[in-house]
Amino acid sequence: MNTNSIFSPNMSVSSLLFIEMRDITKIYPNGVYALVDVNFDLKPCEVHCLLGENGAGKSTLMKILAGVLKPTKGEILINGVPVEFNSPLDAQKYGIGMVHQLFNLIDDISVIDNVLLLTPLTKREKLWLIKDKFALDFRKFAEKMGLPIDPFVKVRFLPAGLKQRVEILRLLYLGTKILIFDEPTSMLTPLESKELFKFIRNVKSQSSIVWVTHRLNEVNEICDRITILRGGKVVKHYTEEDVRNGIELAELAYYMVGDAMVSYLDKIKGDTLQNTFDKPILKINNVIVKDDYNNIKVKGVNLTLYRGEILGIAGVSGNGQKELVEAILGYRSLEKGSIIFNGIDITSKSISERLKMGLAYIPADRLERGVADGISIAENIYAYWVNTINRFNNSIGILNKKYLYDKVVNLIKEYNIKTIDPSLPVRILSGGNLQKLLIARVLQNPCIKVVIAEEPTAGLDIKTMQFIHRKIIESCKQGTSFILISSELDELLKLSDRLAVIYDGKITKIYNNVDNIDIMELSEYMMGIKY
Amino acid sequence: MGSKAIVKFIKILPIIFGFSLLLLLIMVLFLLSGLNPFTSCQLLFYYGFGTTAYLSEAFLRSIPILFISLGLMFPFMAGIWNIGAEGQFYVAAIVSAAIAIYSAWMPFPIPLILSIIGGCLGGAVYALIPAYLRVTRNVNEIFTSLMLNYIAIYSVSYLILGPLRNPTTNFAETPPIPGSAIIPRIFPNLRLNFLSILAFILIPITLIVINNTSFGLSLKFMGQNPIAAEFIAINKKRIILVTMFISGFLTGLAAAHEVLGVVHAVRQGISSNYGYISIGIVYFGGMNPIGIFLISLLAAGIINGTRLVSFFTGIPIGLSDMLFGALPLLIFISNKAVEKISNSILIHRKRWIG
Amino acid sequence: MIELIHDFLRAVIRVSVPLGYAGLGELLVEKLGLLNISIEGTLWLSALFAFIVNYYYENPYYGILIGMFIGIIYYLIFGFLSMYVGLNQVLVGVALNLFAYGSTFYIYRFVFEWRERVSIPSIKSLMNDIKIPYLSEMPLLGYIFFNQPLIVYIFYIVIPTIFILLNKTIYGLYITSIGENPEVSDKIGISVFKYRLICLFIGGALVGLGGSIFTTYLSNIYLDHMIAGRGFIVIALLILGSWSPLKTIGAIILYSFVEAFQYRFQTLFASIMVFLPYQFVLMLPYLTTVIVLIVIGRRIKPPSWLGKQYTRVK
Repeated sequence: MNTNSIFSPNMSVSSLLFIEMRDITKIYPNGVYALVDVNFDLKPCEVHCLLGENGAGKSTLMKILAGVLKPTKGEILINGVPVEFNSPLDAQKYGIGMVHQLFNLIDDISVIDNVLLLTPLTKREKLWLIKDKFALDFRKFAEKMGLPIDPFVKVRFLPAGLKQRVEILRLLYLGTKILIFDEPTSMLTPLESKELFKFIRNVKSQSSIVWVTHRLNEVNEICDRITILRGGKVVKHYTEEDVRNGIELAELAYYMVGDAMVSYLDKIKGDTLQNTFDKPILKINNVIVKDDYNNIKVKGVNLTLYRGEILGIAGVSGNGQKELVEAILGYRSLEKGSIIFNGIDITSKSISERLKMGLAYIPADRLERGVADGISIAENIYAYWVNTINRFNNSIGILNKKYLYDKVVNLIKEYNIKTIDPSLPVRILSGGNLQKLLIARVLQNPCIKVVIAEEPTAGLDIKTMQFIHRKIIESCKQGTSFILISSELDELLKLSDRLAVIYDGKITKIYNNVDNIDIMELSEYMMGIKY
Repeated sequence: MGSKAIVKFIKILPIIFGFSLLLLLIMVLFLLSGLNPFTSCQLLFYYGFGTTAYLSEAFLRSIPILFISLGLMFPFMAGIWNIGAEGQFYVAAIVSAAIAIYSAWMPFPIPLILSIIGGCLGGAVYALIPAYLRVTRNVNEIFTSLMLNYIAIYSVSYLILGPLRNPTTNFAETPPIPGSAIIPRIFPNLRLNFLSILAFILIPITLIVINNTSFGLSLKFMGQNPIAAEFIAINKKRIILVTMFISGFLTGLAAAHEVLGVVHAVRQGISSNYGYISIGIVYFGGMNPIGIFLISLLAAGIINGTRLVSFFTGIPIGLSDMLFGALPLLIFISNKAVEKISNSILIHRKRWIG
Repeated sequence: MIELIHDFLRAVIRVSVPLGYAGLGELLVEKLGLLNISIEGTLWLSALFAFIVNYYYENPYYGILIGMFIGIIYYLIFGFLSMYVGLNQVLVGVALNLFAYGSTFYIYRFVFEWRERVSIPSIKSLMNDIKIPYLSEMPLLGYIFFNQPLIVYIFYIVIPTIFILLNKTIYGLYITSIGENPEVSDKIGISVFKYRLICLFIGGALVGLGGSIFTTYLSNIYLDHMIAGRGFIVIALLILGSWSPLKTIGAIILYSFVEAFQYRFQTLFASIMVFLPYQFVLMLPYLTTVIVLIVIGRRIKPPSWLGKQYTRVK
């Protein structure tokens, strides 16, 4: 346990540090170059944004700074002096701490317990812990920081925004002066994000902040300087003056994505089967859904999905999309309302019944909800097919292995999933190939009528993203309907026929024509400014 | 690819290794007891497998373990920890004995059939208790099945000392199973009975169900990732209930075999930890029916062998029981070691992307 | 009449102390997320070895020491197999139990050369009751609580120690967090390995101590089945006690009342055996656990990673 933090929350501003990362190169044991000769620096009292698309290397760079990873080449200098971090605790000694995307909190103990796990304590305090004293102290501290929280609540019961707050407060309480935020708004509602921005603006006077993101619009909220990474290299750096003068989002996008920019912002969707547009395939009527903590997350949603259309749902993660999807699938029950699928009321049907009826799911949580990593690639595909394709659907039915295997081989070829042998366990697949597998097995299912795709291209590089988009449109042309949930506006605009906006559990706007949407207006609906 | 053959060999390797270690242990213990380890081992193998009679005894003794292990494969592969096989065995035993005794007046083979079915169903129903609690109230089946073991054992103990006590001998046992419910022997001078040969039917059936049916595939998937299983339309509740039913049913079959075919009564200790040993053996056999069969046979023969060697040479019995606990551990360890080695080979063969 | 109550309450204490030691030892280990079913086997082995040592050295305290030693070793073996080798904890527990059942059977006969003996080996050197001066003069309580062997007095100290350790020190918080989520605990710098090692050590010692009490105080002979499932009873009582030290001791004491009642009033039992066979009494802790699990199962919360594998991924 680290008890050597040389910083206390009351240290004066002048003793803050200037951090420099020079010529950082990181090569993974399997030969992949994650970072190449990257230079990055951080001045006291500034917010330095690290921009880049998924896989560009931003997280890797910050993990090196936070002491989680070691660079293959290059060095870190603090106030001009080279330092070496062998663990996050070493970085913490210099006041460097990271707020991760997936919080390092223990759910079943209280907030103050989580804080105490990292707080430096004297010998005496270790043996006789007076929790109340610390709790009071922490509560006061939290209020002083502008992030009030009840120290005795069990972390399990906190929404994502408050959990993040605990992480932030814990770091600050330990005297962290250099805060690294890794994709902090991915779990937050617009309101929570706003509060976070406000907090950042306040706290930067006493600390330095690295803000890692791939969301362009955040840049204008809080950044003083911007560095853009692409393919493990720094492609552009904006100084304070550049930022003050204002930067076009399009220009940022260009640097983030490079030559692919042109198609990235264009819509490539062709015509849809307009004539089948009139037939509703899924009706969601006045649905109210609660989350795991008994909060109402979906507050009366009405949606109709037509045959052969792609209905996009735009909204910042945390506004009820997850619960809505789970309710449509049958994983979560409805408090009120009904769901009609293909003319049949499925409100009380189980997931497996709905999936057998032609509903399909491409989960955002790929490993947790998609595959069993110990069994083979082929079996992961069969397992889905035998349970959902009616032809195979007898309970102890004998499998026709040859036939299934051939189909899998064809699938792998068609989707260009890089693997030597489909009888190898699924865990050897990379993220991109795994996603292709999940999408392939669903789209190859002849019985599907409606596909709910959650963040289908999250974490993927541009090429794979485009491939998947093409496949979705192909499938759509054959009559499959899609509900597309994505936190990437470009994807939604590119693929959707109609676009609904969800904010705070309600659908606040439905665009029937996506061609000429005013992005500003769309953002306002997404942020809840307009309703 | 030649690698497929290598993979199969690798699966057997831990078993071979484990047995070798076991033999080594046995020889050491013989030595400590003042016997010549080599001749004693020879004797052991003779008494275990040497003649047709001894071989059939080994086979006979392996049956309860084999049946229970085959049954346990189902819930274990689905990730359901059925630790209650011991209790299910006791319940099945007493049910089949009770039916046999009370239906004795009916002509053969009706009481026999009723008793066997009764035993199987008894085991199955008892196994459904933890299954039902898991499905409806999400109660962890490890605890419930463990507790139910003792409830079953004590209940049976009460019954054989009370209402089902043998009035003639007044020992803690049921009256002998009436002739109309005894499983007939196949050969006049061997103890094998007709239920024993069911082994040769059950093994291939288990193989087929697990590897070649959609049920088996769903089982395996669920065992690996129960959350994703739901999103693949696998009906988890049904699988829990069905696998536990199958496990209890086969355990009941094992009990019927012992009670109606071998011991011909229910006594204290009708099961010498068969339920627990089978748990070890399921893994020991690499979750593979053929492996399980071989191991049960080998193990049973060794137990018989050591018992007879003890008897004739005067060393204490119990050697085999002691080793039976060590054996699964040795195999587990070898299994893991082999797994780690083969995994690293796998990684070297594929380029990791990202 | 008072004599009867005195004796009865003393019996309750005698029953609850070995279970209490075992319970606290297993509690420490389970709080870390390690479900060690081989507590049963550990009790068998430590009882046996304590008997052997006590017999040959005629000193019950040596027996206690060897019991603790055996407990430590067996728990460390469990830890090694489940954490380092990565085997499933439940299966390791079952296998270790089987090994213990078999080896105690064999080793006892081996050591005492069964065939040549005429009489059953028995020990004269059991622990003596020590009267604490002044305190043991207290009415009622004095005779019961302060007229016990040393090991019981140590138990009086062990209970609050464990309670303070788990609830009032930072180490208790570390232990709880490891049991709830070893992944996160490791990430934030708590050495999962170190704490598990320490707790297996201490827990094993306590369990071994508990086992050795059977053959250094409670009985002067060794019987094959003398432990008779008490390890599993302890597991059941831990569940009933919601993995909290005081509640667990409470559950153990309640159970001890029933068991002591059964011993002391066996004749009384025999006459009402028609209605309440003694096996029912033996079944009681298990039955109660199942019923409690059914009724308030949803609200009983074990440490979240109890039984789940965690080995650090480098």
